[in-house]
Amino acid sequence: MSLFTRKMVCQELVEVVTAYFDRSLSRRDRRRFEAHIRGCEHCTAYVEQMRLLIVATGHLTEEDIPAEAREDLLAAFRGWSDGRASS
Amino acid sequence: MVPFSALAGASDEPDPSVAADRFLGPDSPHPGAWAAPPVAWPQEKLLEKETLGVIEMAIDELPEAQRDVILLRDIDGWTPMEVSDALGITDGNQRVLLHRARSRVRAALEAYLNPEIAGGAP
Repeated sequence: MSLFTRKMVCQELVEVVTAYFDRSLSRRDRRRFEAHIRGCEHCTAYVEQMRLLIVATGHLTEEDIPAEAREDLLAAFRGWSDGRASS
Repeated sequence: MVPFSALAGASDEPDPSVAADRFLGPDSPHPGAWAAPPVAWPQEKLLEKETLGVIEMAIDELPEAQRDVILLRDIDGWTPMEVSDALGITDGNQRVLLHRARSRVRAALEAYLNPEIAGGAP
């Protein structure tokens, strides 16, 4: 790895937050991400917003989502595992 | 019927996660740094009924493919692999869709919680 790895800037960080959460960043980009976060209160706030959003979204249930959206989704799975889709 | 994979096409239009005008431009001393930074959200506010309603409405307005992925990942709790297998898309593609979905919903939530800074939603 280069000793002169380019620093991650805020505008780049917001594009890779999901990859960071999914642990799918390369080791190099993960390091750049974490190095940036340590020194940037604004990006720390951004990442925290995303975490809170994911937690809050997890509190929604299937009943909250309009039936129409659900039906579209289920239509996309027609033929896929019934047991899984009904859990 | 359009195959799902056709709806999931990743990079047709530029769709930044955060509006470009929230960042400093190329001529500034710190290009790409926040110009209009996000602020911390009060945790207790996030689970209020009205806030959840904003999230719900934002999800409902997403393009279909993005909405499907965020429903499965963040509401139903499926793993990335389960989602990509079920929808017949690549792991990278489901992540792009999830990322766009979350970014749009975050922007909608910011417009609600911080109306003073969220003028330039993407």
